[in-house]
Formats: sequence, C-alpha cells, structure tokens
Amino acid sequence: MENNRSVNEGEIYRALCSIVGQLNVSSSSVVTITYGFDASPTSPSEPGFVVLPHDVIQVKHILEVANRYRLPITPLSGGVNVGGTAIPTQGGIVLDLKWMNKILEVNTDAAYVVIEPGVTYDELTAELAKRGFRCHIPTSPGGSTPVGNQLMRPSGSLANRHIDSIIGLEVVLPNGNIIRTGSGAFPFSGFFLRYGPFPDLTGLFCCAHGTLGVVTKASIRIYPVNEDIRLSIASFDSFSSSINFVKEVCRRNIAEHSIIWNRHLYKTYEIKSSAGKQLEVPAVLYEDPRESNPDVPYNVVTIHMSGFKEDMETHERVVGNIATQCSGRLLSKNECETLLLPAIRSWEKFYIQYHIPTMDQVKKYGLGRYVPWIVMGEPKDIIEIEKESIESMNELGIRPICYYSMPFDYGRAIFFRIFSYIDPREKETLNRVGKLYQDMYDSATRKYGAIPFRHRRDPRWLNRLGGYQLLLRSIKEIVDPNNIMNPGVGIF
Amino acid sequence: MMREKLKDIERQLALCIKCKKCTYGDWPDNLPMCPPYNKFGFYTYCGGGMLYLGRAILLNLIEPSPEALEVISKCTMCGFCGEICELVKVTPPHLPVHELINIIKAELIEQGIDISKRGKAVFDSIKKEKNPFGVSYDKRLKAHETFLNPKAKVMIFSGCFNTLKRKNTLDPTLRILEKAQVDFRLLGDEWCCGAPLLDMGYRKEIAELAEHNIKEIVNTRVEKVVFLCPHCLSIFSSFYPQITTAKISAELTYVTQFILDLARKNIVKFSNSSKPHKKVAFHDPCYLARYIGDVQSVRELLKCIPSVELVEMKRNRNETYCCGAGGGVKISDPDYAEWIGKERLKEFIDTGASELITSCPHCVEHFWDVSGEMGFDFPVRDSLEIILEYISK
Repeated sequence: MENNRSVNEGEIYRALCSIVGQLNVSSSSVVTITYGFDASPTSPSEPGFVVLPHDVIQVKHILEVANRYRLPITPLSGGVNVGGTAIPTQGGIVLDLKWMNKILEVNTDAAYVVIEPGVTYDELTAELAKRGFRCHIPTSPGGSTPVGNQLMRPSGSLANRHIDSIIGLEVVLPNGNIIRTGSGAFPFSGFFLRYGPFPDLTGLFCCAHGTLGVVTKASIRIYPVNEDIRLSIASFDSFSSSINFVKEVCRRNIAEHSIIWNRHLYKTYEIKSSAGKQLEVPAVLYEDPRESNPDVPYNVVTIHMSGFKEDMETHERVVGNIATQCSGRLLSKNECETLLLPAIRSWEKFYIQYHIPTMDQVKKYGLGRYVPWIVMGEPKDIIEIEKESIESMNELGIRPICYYSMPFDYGRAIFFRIFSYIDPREKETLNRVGKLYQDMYDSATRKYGAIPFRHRRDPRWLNRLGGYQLLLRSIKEIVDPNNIMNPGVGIF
Repeated sequence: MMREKLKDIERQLALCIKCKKCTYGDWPDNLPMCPPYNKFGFYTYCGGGMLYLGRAILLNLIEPSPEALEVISKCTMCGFCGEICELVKVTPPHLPVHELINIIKAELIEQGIDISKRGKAVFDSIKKEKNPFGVSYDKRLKAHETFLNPKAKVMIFSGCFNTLKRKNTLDPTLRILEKAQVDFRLLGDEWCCGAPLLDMGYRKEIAELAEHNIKEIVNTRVEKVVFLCPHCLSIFSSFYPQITTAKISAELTYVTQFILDLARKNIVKFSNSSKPHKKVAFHDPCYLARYIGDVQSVRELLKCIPSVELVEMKRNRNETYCCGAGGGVKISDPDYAEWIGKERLKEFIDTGASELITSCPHCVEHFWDVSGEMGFDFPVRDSLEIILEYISK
C-alpha cells in the first residue's frame, strides 16, 4: 500500500486538526513514539499521528481522511496491552478513543448497557455497583475497557457460560459509513438482542482487532447482583482432577465461574515490593512446579457461586462432594487463610465486590517480560497439553511457570494460558522461549487439535483455514479495499 | 550516545503494561489523579507514558530533545504514580514511577538539553546565593542570627521559602514554640535543601548542598530537626542518603507532627475560645501526604479546636491532588501550573468551606496566586496560622 504521508504530512495534519481541533492531534515524535511499542517483544513501529476524537462523527471524518491518503489507522480503546495487538503501523494514525468515554445507557429492565469504547472497566463496574448490577470481570486491569476487551472474547468471570458479553455494536466502516448490529440495527429498537432474523454481523467485528472498522458503541450484557455470593476454594494434586472438577461444576450449572490456578501462579500474590527495598518472592516460585509439595497444592480451583441463600448452601455442599469425587477437597476457611491469604483478598474483590483488583493482578508483571502461550481445546486434550507444556518450559529452566485454565461455554472448550516473566534484557532467553512456543503451538494444534486463543500477528494462521479464510478475505476486501484498518496487526 | 542513567533503570522502563492505574484513584470513585494526563490527554503525559518516552530514548528510537524535556517537565512530581504502581517497584532497582521520571529528566539535562531561562535563573541563584530566589546570601544569615541559642536541642530548618519569601509557616511556628516555652534554634548558615534542583533534574549538584547542611546541623548537636517545608524534609530523609555518606543522627520531623506531639504531652494547650464556628477544608500537600506519609497530624491538630469544622475535599489524604506548584512546573510552565491550581480550587469551592488550609509554603503561595487570578477572596492559610489562633496564652 502506498503511503502518501511523507509528501502530505502538513496537509494531513491540518485535515485532522480541522476535525478534532489542534489540541487533540499530535505528530510530535515524543508523543507518537510512546504509542509505538508496548511491554511485549513486538518491534516498535512509530505512528505518524495520534488523534483523540470525541464522537462518532469525528471518527467518521478521520476515517475518510485516512482513506483519502491511504493511511493505516489503528483504533485504541484502552491501549492496555501485553501482547502487541495495539502496535500501530509505521507512519499511520493511532485513533486513541479515550475521550469517547460515556456510559450512554444503563438499561436495568433489559439488563444491558450501551457504552463508548473509552469507558474503562473500573468506571463501568462502579456505575453498575450503584445500581446493584455487575458485568463480566476480566483478568485484565481495571483501566482496560469493556469494549476493547469484550471484542477479544476474553477470559474472565462470565467466560464459563458465555464466550463474550457483547450484544450489539455501532461501527464506523473504513469508508465512513456508520452501521449498527443486532437489534440496534432496527431503526426504532434498542440494543437488547444480539441475534435477529439475519446473520450475526456482531461476531464479524469480534476478534477482528480493528481490521474491519472502528467500534464506537457497544451494548454489553449486565446481571443483577444476587443476594448471596460465595467463593469456595478446592485443592487438587493433579491437573486432570482439576479439569474433571471444573467441567462438572460448570456443566451442572453450579458454579457461575471457576478457574484452575497452578501453584506458581497463586503464590505470585505473595510477592512483596516497596520502593527501594529488596523484593520478597515466595521460594516455591523457583521450584519445579511438578514436584510434590504437601504444603502447596498442585492446583487450587476457585468456584464462584451466587443466587438465593438456600440454593447457595446446597451448592456449596454439592461442590464439596464433587471435589471429593474428583480426588480433591474443599479447603476450610483457616486453610485458605494460611495457604492463600493475599490471593483470597484479591479474589474476593473480583468475585464478591465485582471489580478488578488491578494492582494485585498486574504486580507480578514486574517480575519480567510477560510471555504467554494460550490455547483452547477439548478437556481431554488440554490435560495432555498441560503436561507437555510444563515439561518443555521446565527443560528451558524457566521460572516461574504460571498457568491458569478455565472452562468456556459450559466446558465444551477449555482455555489454557501458561506464561512466565523473563528479564527483558535477556534477548537470547526470550528468543528461545519464542521458538519453544512456536513448537508448542505446532504440537498443540496438530497433535491435540487445539486452536490458538488469540490471533498471533502472523497471517500464516489464517492461510491454513481454507474456505473460511477466502470468505473472510473477500469480506475484508469489500469493507476495506484500501487496507487502511490496522494492517500492522497482521491478521490478513 | 551513552544513556548511563537510563541503563540503570532499563528493566523498570521495559515492563509498564500501560494499565493507566497511575492516572486515577481507588475504585469506585476512580478520581483523575495525574495532572499532565488530565491536561494534555495523550498517553505520553502520564507516568507510564513518560516511562515509555524514557525507554524510547534509551533504545535510540528518538533523540534526547528539548521537546522530550518539555513533556517530562510537565510531571508535577506529585508522587501518586509512584505510590500506586507496585508493578514497577517489583523490578530492580525498585524505584517508584515518579523517581524514574526524575531520572529520565536528569538524563536529558545531562545530555545538554537546555532548561528554560527561568529555570536557569533558579539554578544560578542556588549555586551563587544558596537559595532559589536570587536573594543575597547574607540576608538569610542576618535573619537567622537572633535565633541561634546554642543550648537548644530542637532546631527549626526553616527552608528558603519561609525565611526569604513569605513567613506564613515560620512566624506562627516561632510564636507557638515561644508560647509553649520550647527552646529552639535556627541553623546559622542554612543553604537551600536542593529540592528545586531535584525538580529540574539536577541531581548531582545537590551533593554539595546536602553535605553542607548536614555538617552544619551535626555541629549544632541538636536532637531534633523540625522542618517547615515538606519538600525539605523529604529530600533530607529520602534523597540525601542516596548521594552522600554524611549522616544526621538527630530525629527529623515535620512541624505539624512536632506540634501535635507537644499537644499530646499537654505542652501546647488549646484555648476554649468562643470564636465563631468556621468550616475549613484541608489540602494535603503531595510531599506531606505521599512522600512523608503524614495525612493525620494536621487533622488531629484541627480536631483540638472545637469551633473549627474540617470538611474534606473530594481528593484527599493519599489521593490528594497537586496544587500546581510541584515539580518545577510553576517555573517552567506557569499557565499550566495555574490550570492545575484552578482545578484544585474548584474542588475546594465545592466543599462550601470558608477557608482553605494547607501545610506547605509552596501550596499556600500557589493557591494565593491562583485564587487571586480567579477573583476569589477566601483565605488560604498555613495550618499553623489557624492553630496559633487557638493556642492558650
């Protein structure tokens, strides 16, 4: 794609300023470079402009300018990122949507909210808490946005039951046309229903990473807070037992949400840091995660339940019985406090207060560069994948080896994310891990039929998908013939 | 080009995940906390963004430039990012975000990037006169010479502002101590603590000031040094140990903590005056609340006065908001400093209080300036002024 920026820079700058005002456009390198890289190993790529629009009409006009000059454009809702998915294309436009931060509608009758992309989880959960409602709580920080996060079909507090919480969208297409999806597409209807009488176009924009348009509104499912909320913790000596347990409590509709945590991960909550002082890291994080350790269970599983008090008492008993049947057991309150106190404090915010304990969640990223490997697969396959991946990472001598895993869609699929934190200066180790992960993906996909959870900045993944990729490419060509929408993300 | 200072903090610069928690307060209020991010909007201007800017310089993605220094200089050093972000502190050398920002600024200065003319004047004045205001060196010597009681075990470290500019903290302190019959002294040859230099990124130039002040204090053999400016106390307790081996064995404390201690021992007594009821709001100075960690002493003292009702501003205690005078922005960008001050004063107006109380000479002065600009005529006072009013004779 020809990039006309060099010859037209002043003209483009003036055009953007005329849309959003000079204070909301920057082409200064000291500003643009900070949008050009993140904490992932993805190579830096400096955009030519950063623009802060305030409304959908401004977005429409910016896209028209981008199309006119064939400028690549990368939309950014929160910009919180550890995976390189929001790295712009060199010389292009970053559309930072932070000022589009209005909660437009909280519909407690039909249980949905309509929000703009700049609204953060912390803002939405605070607003919902006032009204006795809650939404999906992700494993990302509170400054991340529900729109950006939900468009990526995330792991989080409702993933056991629903793949994503999005009902409908307002999208500005690359040509500047504005469309709505779901029931919101009907001229007199709200965004109450995702699936109408026609094909589901909402899904087209999910996991598209801004390659098909700019989402300027989303309708998100919300739920009332129930009268009784419980968080039970079970421990297991093997991953297969944990998987059998979560499958059962999820499919029987007992747990609203469950997560399997390995010992290296749940012990990261005990990391203590303070300015200028030596870091305190639990010794277990340096041990082989597979070695038997009677004081630190191999896995703990959090089981979140809510409903009427009478139901919860029964559910808690049933969960205990299922744990026993799966060769595990529920931990007592005292055991939880001895084994897991900092983690429990954090999980209570997540599951009982329904908001994100940001610093508890992100503190561990300070151990080193976060290097994740994530797949989805059938339960029996994920059990094998866990064994192989831990063994492979252990052979490289990596510490810690953290993972968490959870059922999606009532346990039809199991999500598995394994990761470590590597000193960012150790380029060789990072390269070796990168190579290992590639081998692990090959093995997981070919041997076990798993699929990657996220697009991986590599068009070869899409190329393998036969007719699916042909159709998707055709849609892309129709919607975005100049390929201006986030080309750097590398889906197409 | 070498980037020695940045190399030392490379790991810390590399790990920010852009979560933006450095920009807003605790859930569920989520109050905006970062002045430059609030004002300029682009990610670059928040704590995390400035770390990315530092990393870009370290990786030679951009050159050190006046534009980079201008962005970094918008940080008011309020310390909120440093307090809230635990992620960055997990990584060696475990420095808080605002200190990393200051190191980036120091690197730019070291690379020869020019500071503003106003900044240069402050720098030259500290070098020559040992104060930032261009006032002659002898003036402070003279001002202090009547308060050099050699037997006193308590020293007041006055600070340049209190001796040479406005005495809203010094005068009431001296009156309170006289009433309480506490022997005290000032430091005869007190030099600037170096806080304005630290704000501007001149870190290594502070060593001379530190060594002089420490030597002079040690020679007096006092047991306690009471500071009237939280910037001075903070640099003495946190930064001096990083740049000099010289040490003070005397206890370092802040004036409101000292007065509170005297009140608890019944040495300072409050009168049961029948003065009319008044509602005051307290602005926690960033350096007192976050650097020194004291959000209680002024509140405890105000509680001793029955006719004074303390109301809280929306952002208070550890979530206090900068007045606009911090980080040298009042020198480098007065309009921006005024914008921040106005934001804070609007919050004060919302409390319905009749007086604004604070406990830092820089905050007092800046609020005076900004409230004058806004056409407000409510009093802005140091906490010790109001406390003095209610001390028994």
